[in-house]
Amino acid sequence: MVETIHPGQIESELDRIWESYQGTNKMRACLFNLIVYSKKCQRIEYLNKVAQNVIEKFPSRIIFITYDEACSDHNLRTAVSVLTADEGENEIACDMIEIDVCSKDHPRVPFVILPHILPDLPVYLVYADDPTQENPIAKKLEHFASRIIFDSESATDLPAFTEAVLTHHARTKADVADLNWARMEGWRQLFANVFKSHDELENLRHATDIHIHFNSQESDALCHTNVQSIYLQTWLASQLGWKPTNISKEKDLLYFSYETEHLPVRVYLHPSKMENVQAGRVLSVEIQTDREFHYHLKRNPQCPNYVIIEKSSPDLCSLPSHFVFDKDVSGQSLVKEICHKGTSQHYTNMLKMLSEIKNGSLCQ
Amino acid sequence: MNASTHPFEEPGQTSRTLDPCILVIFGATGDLTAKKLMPAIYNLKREGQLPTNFVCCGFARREKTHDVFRKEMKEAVNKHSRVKPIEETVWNNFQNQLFYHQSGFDDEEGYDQFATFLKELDSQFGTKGNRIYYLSTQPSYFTTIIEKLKKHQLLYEKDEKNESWSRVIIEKPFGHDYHSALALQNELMQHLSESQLYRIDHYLGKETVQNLLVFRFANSIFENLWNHRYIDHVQFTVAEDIGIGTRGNFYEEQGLVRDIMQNHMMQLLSLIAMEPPVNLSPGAVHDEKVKVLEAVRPYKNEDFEKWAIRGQYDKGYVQGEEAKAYRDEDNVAKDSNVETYAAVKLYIDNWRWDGVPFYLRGAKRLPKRATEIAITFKNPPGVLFKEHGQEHESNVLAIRIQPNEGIALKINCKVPGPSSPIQPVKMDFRYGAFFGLTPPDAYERLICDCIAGDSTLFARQDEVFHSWQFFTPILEYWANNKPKDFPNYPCGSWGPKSAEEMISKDGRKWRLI
Repeated sequence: MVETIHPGQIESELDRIWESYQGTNKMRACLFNLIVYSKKCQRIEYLNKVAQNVIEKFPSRIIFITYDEACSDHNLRTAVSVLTADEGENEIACDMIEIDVCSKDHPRVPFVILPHILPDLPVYLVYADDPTQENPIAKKLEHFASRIIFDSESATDLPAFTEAVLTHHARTKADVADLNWARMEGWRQLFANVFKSHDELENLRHATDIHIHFNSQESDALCHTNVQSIYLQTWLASQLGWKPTNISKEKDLLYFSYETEHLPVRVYLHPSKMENVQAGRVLSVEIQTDREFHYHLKRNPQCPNYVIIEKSSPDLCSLPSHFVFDKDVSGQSLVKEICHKGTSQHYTNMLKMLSEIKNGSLCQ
Repeated sequence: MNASTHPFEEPGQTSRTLDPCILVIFGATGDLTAKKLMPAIYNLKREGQLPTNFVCCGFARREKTHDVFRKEMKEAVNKHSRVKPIEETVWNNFQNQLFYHQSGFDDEEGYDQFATFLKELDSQFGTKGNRIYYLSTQPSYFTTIIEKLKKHQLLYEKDEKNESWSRVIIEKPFGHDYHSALALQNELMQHLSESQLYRIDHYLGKETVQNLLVFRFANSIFENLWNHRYIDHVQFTVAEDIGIGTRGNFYEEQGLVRDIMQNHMMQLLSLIAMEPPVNLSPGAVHDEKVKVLEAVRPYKNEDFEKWAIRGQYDKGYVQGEEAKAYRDEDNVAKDSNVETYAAVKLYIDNWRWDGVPFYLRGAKRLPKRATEIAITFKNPPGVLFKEHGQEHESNVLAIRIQPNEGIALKINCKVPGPSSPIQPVKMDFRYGAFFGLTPPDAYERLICDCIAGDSTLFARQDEVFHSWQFFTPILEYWANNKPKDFPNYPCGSWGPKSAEEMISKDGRKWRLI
């Protein structure tokens, strides 16, 4: 955190900084307000990096709130700075307001930030805390938000998380989104491409076994590494109208069983390791169908944002083709999520199905 | 299958999925392929915007291997891509999908071999017989190529019996005048349908041009003012500081009106003046654009001299550098009467635009490069501020297409202090400040749209015809009445005096951009 100032000086200090830039090519820009709310934890550095990546794409006013649960004192520190989004002929820059708060001053937070939300622009709240935990301050922040972006990484109980998000969605007028949902957008896009035609989609409807490998290598930012693969298979099931019948866990292997209009299908989630891929990312998907088709969609180990697509049957073996994901950069998922408007119906369908699966052992 | 019913697609949330296909570029050894098409295809590949099963195949007369073609294209992408340097992994993957076929455009055997080759590619890459033929050739080859494609069963439409589709993209000029455009259309329609034909106008692929529809129809504050009651006049400017370069032969045949005014500028005009379409489907948008072009008032005999001004650049200075006269350019006749400047005034005879003049000017060798649409509003009654002895300036909404893409609104404000003089100020929105500085190239968007079968951003035949219907009499008048004052503006100036006079007679002036 840069030099601390009194909360009443936030705007004047920002004005002072901007005045000092007069005569330079810095251009003050803002598309929306981005409020990041998180407990003080090891993920703060990651969230800061995410915010920096967001402004590189979309200049915004960032209000970054860090709540230190362990500190019981009266302490609320504020600081301001100007972040540069782009090093070009015209440097685009935007405001950053940081607030560090201890528990006794926690209730002051909404009052501190309220005068600094820029009017007429959307307010995106990245709620990097567990929404299943009661938090009256978070409720007040939600009140300002036009879009709440959760991160299921913060949750310890995935079905409870899904219920909490659905409740938020029902209760508030704000759109809801989820970083882990955004993180698997590439795979959703890939499925839409590979199974675009009627024939391919029918093949998928005849699946009997699906094996999903995910990167179980934990990082400081992400330790619930199976969430994205759970999301992917639940999304498939909900969109294809499969009915969940069972969920089991054997050692590290988690598997889901579904009833379908054809044969039952079983989805296996395999923890694996891949060095140059972010924690929790899906690494490959293998699909076997009762029509004897076999699909293998796997990341290229040399270039993990490339997915190699192989399809074979006893009579046919297609040449592999490729699908390109956006590069895994911290914040990229949030940038994508910001581009979307409204709440994804597919996301809520998936949450509903997931909330039906009452199994606390879903998260590793 | 309807995209909206596909279980894995969600409007507004997932980007559209594209059919597998082979993109064939005729004239693959030309400048357009190297400078625009291949960099656009590479960037689409880099960003994962191409279909999973995709092949690009060059078709040209020069003999070369697949590998030589790949090497040349890699160099071209390295030089001309908007994102540099080239990403080796992306290229290495992409080049496996890049091929070359050598054949003359009228060589029967070449097409026979090509048909077999495409089938092989289909079976290797799962491209399912879907084809886009990009005719990056001289227009004189359009009919020959399309005829040969048809003859060798390489052109077909998707129907109940046939799941595969084929589409053809052609580059302007679409004819030399109304009659040749009609003749070209008749020839092409013998072999393919209008729905298979995509007339590319790269202006329509520019993000700022696409934003015109959003700006007009997603903002309620402007639409109420967008008519003859509030708008005094509209100016369209397409200014270039460069000369004709190495395109002497081309320019001697074309001239400025055919090069940019009849196509790009009339497309801009139709987007600015059109009524709201019933929806954003290609048909609905094209229908409204055509209505505007249909309503453009044809010139009467006396209008040609008054309202259609032409010019040709003389030697001068651009950006401080000496620049030679048009007639001294390579491959230009010493007594050439081809126009490098054109300014026209026109009216759109419909309810919305009754009596509002539209001024269009386009030129080479002006002081700077700028494309802009400026809407000047009528002044409010001036009774209140008369005593200050000041005329207020009109409100102007300026839409900058390039460079510095953005929108500026000029409004009048009070200068602080007791005497209350009125000063115009500008509210300025810049795309770059909000959405980054390297928007996708127009060709990227247009190629993608063609693969998706979306013709909204391509010109439809009736748009082309109506535009020619307006300009052909002007071009004929000019051909029959040689200019007496060419060259009539120095390089680096804002054009000939006659253009200034034309607008000043109306009590207006050209904007200084």
